[in-house]
Amino acid sequence: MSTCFSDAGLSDRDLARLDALYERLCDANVNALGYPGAKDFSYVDLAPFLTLPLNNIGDPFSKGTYRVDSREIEREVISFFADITRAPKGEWWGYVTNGGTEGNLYGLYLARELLPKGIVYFSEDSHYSVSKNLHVLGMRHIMVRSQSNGEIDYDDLREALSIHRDVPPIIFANIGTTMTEARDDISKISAIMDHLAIRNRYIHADAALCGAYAAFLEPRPHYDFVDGADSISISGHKFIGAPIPCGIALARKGHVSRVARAIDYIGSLDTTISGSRSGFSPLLLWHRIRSLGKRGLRARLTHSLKFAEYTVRSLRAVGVEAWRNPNALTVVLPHPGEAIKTRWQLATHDDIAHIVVMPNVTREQIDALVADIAKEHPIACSA
Amino acid sequence: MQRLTVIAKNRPGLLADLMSLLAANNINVRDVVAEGFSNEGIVHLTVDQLDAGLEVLTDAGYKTVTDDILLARIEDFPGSLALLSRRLADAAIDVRAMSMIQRKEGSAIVAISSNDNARVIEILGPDLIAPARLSPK
Repeated sequence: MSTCFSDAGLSDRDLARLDALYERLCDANVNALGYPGAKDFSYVDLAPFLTLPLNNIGDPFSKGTYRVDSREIEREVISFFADITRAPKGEWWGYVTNGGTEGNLYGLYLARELLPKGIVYFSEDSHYSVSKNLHVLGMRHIMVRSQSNGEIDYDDLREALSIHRDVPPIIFANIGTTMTEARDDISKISAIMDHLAIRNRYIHADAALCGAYAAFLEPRPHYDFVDGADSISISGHKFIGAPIPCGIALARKGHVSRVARAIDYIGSLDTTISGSRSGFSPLLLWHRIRSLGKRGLRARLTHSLKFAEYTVRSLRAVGVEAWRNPNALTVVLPHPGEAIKTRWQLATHDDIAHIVVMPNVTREQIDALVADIAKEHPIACSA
Repeated sequence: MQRLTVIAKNRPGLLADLMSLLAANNINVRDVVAEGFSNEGIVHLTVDQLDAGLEVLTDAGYKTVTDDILLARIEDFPGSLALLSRRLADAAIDVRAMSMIQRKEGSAIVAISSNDNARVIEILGPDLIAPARLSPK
């Protein structure tokens, strides 16, 4: 007999499978330090909504006839993120997505519609989904070198822009790269384009990881609408934490309206990527925003920054060449052995691995990981 | 039979590891051509199951490309990739994708996907790390 799912209307065998899966997931969840998903959440009080066929069809700001939706809540969520990303008052638009990749797809889609002949520039440290999105959208692109910390190489970008000066640039900026949490500086990028007298341009900010807390960092990174972004993608299941992947796409309203007008042949001004959209994800994000507020988010950030620094210090104390970008929650270290990688579910790339110090990460976990690494063969502890 | 190219850190046993991995997955290798460039190894493999081979090697963490993708070695300096892109654009070649897959010691390996690989080979010539240049089909 199942211990957790007794009323599910399933056979004992199926219930046992669910039990086993749940146990395995709970176990795996404890030591997953390599992926940026916060775990300090509980949304059980939202469970009654799981009995409803929620669907936020289409544009969250348009009226619809389907009323089993949470679009009112969704608008509040988007408004919160528009505020922290300093979107121009009354001149922004957005929706709750299925995650950061959809937000990036949306930003690139807007860019392509506005600048059909544009070339996309993105750094070699960009997430692999960028290439996938560009392929889906059929957009021309040029990869730009990265600096050793993962940030875009501004000299390479300047050269690339000047070589292709005749083609409008679409910049895909990383506000927190996957492996090192490096942040491209949109102000610097804008200044380069100003210097080259490039007026016809578009900047998308992939702030999947950092978008939920960058506004609270001091100094504030240059990543938002005031800095020159035309659209921003933020993940909801990373720093904020959610049991379902979700995110926020934000864009300048003027861009969205232009695209909507251009595609009115479909009989709708809806520019969202999916038609049917989750009505539950906005509830999760709203629940978190309302319960934590800016103050709570700031407090969680302070915790993460403190323990990210502690992780670097602890690893260095046992001879591991760990480092992190300024104000990053991501700690980079040399690729450890397979046993450690598997036990702590560390993401690796080439010669490096990383630990993402989310708000749920404790001193005890860091100490245990560091002790594990210290016990490993000395090769793993050298740079 | 089709070709795969693996770009990996050059180390003793690299070739043996690749062979073992493919053999363990019942993929036959008919031909191997390996090049070593100080820190990096480039291994061209002719296999009997292209998709399976690509999947096995990629899953094992090796940067692997098929014949559909051309590899070029270029100097690594600011704007070098943009210059290469300009050369191809000026020749009216539609470049679908161009990505840096390795940067080391002043040079970079670039993967190019285009609508006309034959023309790219013609234009880039010796800059290419093409299996066709190394062993007969």
